[in-house]
Amino acid sequence: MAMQRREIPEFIIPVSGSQDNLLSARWGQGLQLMVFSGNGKRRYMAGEADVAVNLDKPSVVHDVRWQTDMHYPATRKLAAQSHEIFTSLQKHTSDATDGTKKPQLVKFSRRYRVAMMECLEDLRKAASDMAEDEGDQETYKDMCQLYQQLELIWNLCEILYIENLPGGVILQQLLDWVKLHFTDADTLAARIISEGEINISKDYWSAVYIYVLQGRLAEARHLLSMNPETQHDVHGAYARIDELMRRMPVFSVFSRQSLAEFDLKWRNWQEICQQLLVDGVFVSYQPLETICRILAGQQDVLDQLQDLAGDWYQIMVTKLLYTNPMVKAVDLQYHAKSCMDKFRGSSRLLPLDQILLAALEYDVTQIIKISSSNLSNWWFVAHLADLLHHAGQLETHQLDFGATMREFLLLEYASTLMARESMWQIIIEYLEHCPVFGRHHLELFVEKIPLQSEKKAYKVLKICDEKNMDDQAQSICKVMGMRALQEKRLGTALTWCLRSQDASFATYLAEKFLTEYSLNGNFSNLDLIDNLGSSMLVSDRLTFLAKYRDFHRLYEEGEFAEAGELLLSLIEANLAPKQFMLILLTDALPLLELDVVVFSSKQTSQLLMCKENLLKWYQSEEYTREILPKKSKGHVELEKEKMELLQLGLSRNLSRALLEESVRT
Amino acid sequence: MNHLSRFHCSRSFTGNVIAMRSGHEVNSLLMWKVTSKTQTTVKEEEQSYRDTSRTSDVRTTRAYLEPEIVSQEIHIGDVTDLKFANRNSLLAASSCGTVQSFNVTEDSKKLIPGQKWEGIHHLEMSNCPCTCMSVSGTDVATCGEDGRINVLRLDHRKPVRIIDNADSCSLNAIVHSKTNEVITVNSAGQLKVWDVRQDGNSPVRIFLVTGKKVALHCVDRHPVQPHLVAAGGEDGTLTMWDLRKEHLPVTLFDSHESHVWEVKFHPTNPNNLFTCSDDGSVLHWQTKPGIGSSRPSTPLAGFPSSAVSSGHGLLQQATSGADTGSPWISSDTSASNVDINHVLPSLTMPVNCVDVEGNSLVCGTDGEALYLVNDLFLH
Repeated sequence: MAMQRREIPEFIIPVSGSQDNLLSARWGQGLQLMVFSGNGKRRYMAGEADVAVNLDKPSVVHDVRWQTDMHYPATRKLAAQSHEIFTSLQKHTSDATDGTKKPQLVKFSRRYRVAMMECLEDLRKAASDMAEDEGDQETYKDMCQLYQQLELIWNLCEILYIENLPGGVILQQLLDWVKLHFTDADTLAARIISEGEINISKDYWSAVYIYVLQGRLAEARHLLSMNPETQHDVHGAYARIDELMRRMPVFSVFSRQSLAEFDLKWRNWQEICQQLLVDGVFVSYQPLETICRILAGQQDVLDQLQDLAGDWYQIMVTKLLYTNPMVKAVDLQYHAKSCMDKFRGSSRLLPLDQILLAALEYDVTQIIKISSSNLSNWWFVAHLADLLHHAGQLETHQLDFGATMREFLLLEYASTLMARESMWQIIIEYLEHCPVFGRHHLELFVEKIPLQSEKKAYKVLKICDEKNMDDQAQSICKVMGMRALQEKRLGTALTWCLRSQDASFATYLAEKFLTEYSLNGNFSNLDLIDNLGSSMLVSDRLTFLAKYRDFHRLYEEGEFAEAGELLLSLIEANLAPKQFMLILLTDALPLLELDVVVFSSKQTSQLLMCKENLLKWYQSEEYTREILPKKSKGHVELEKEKMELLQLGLSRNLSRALLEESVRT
Repeated sequence: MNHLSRFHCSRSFTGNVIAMRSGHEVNSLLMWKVTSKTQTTVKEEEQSYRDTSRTSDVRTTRAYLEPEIVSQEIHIGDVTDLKFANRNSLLAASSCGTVQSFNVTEDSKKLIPGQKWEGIHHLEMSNCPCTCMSVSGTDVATCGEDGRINVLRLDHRKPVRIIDNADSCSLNAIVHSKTNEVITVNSAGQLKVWDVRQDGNSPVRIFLVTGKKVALHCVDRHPVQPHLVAAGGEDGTLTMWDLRKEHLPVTLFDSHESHVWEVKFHPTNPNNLFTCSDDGSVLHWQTKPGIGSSRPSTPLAGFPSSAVSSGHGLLQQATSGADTGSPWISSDTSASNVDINHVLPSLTMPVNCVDVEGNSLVCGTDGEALYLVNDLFLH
């Protein structure tokens, strides 16, 4: 997993024919490439022209992804959980006062660590799960190791930067840190105790030594008290050492004693330890003497116990505990350096050492830098940087390309998630908290989210609404509408169009409906058109469609007078497409043939006028040039016939209307 | 991907929950075993499958048993709906327009793929999601984004009835109101009642939410009074219809902030209703009994009672609903008649589905998590 800097990873992609047809690729979502043997050209020897080589069989598309650490089941859980923590952290800090901020931040940090621990637990389970294939098991094992390290670093950072207690006396927390992460003694002790009969073996003393080295004296005493030798402790050596350990002063920020007071007590206690050594009380009890020498802070004993003492940072904590328990956090770096020189010697520093050292040196930027380039895990650096940013520990200097380090890391993290489709909601949340480039990324990303179902489209739309991304919302509606249109689902297309209030699309669709009507003589999608309500106002053409449909309904219901009036107003308002005019006028015909007079003389003359206008248009250059050639001869004949019928009907109606009106007056 | 978008609580297998993961990559159908502690003296306790629950307050008691996966099956396409047809067969609807049945073995340890109705929902050129199913006896009615209604019969290879072009828009949910009558809701805010025995493709009746178009995502009917229907809309409203009466809903409740993805009446205790929403909340609605017994639960913070409005004053004549005896459509302002409580602590991810059985509620979210709540307080 861990990649060295400047090392370029190489994948071999088994594409057939890639020698002849160079490998081509297109970007997928995020860190994803679609690789295939494309239409590349093979370069022949100098002088000859490039020749395109056609593939003899269909190309296979390879989906190549990298940095997929977050795509495993266990890490996906981590991603989901940390997303929740991240979101509440952003919310929290915007409305927290300074007084409550720090304890809250510590809580957030702990929640992150809980999530990490759980992920680690799941990874362990997966690594030992026989159902997983071997390659995966190996990966899980590597990841286990990685997350262990990450947790170690995070915990130290939490102690140093987030929790930093007043007074800067830090030892107790460092002890907890060591205790939490190095549990060899516990495993040993548990095994020894479970065996029932206490067997004074090498392991037994190892466990005791480690407890003492880690400053866990209660546990060490407990283990010692189980030693059968304590039963016939004639010289009182066991009692002595027990007493010593019990009385070791411990400094706590929350106790009322002052530093000076504690210092005095502590010196007193250690002098007793040294005195006992000088007196040779434990001479015949070798292990007890070793313990006492540790307590007395003698350096050489640490060299002897190097195998048990652990890595340099563990040794540092032990050394501080028994020589300088009041060490201030700021002085840690000097102790760290000396321990490292002593115990690491000249061997090369591992990334973990460098990171811990940087942490102890209070060089936050360096921690982030080394972690990002060596641990190949953007989750860690992104969340840590964000937390430190909220704690005010991260410098806000701009990187070369304009964003802060926090933003850069969040963007990187978001991109590693992108290749995994189910993460899109999480990604959006992270992008949103990038002040400089986030918006831009968000806009590009939202448009690329695949929309397999309407439900998903609704969800993406909702997010667009929340983030005021009107253009993107428009384009989603358009995509969904066009898709429905291609599948000939006009009704669905119309609902998507109405959702985005897209006037031109609505006009287009309304015309589709009208064409359908003029071809078949009846409407489809009546359930929708009849119930358009106020949404018909989106476009004139749609209004026309709905009103025209109203006319039909009135006519069917026998409301001829109203139907006639509506028809006239539709004709007059000029909302209909020109080619539809004839249909409208023809619709007037049955009304003209009724026994009762529907159109008054005035209305009839209006209709006549419209008819004349239509006739004029039929003779216009535009019509003869553009539309006439597309019509069949029979169609033109039919139209002519209709016009004549109309002329006849209208004139007859005019005379009837005039007659009736004159009678009425 | 593993968005839990839908699951269904087994009616006959107490203790088993079927969950599904859905998404674009490899989807699977998971069967979980939920061990309840009813055999011990401990009364039922809140359980939750969720990693964060260690830090959240869902888990109120320490003693719990983690639900475990007992079976896992690959599923093609997103699982859009899950229903038990009977004791032994589970139906899964897919976003590829397919419905597949799975047989559950007697010991409820395994899912075995059974009959498959392929491509029953399709468009001109491609398949399209089947959105919902409803079971009545051996008949299964399905609807899809193609606006089509299919009636399947178990053990029949072909659908026994197909209503093409049943709707101009997408049909989002379907539920049986009687043996041969189904109710559908669509994305144009219409609720339609169909008689599946009738030929042709026109509904018996059409009901509307309001003048403006609000897509309806889900529908459920009262288990005892089938004329009483609840539907959830895209604007977060819950609407109640009395199918014997108006074309417009009798009551509108406005408590969710976003899409209501699923609505469920409690099967045996229909004064309780559950909804889940895109805003990440699951609400428990209960009509108030005569005596004001209240439950020790999180009151609905942030929703003053005035937010629950009655029908926007649309239907004064609906007041006659009181004589039906159902509090859901009672005459008084509905605000005072219905208690609304949050079931989950506040969440960030959309909740896609909810199901309830006995005192247990289970719901799945886009955060790839499944929540199980075991101590519902029901009237």
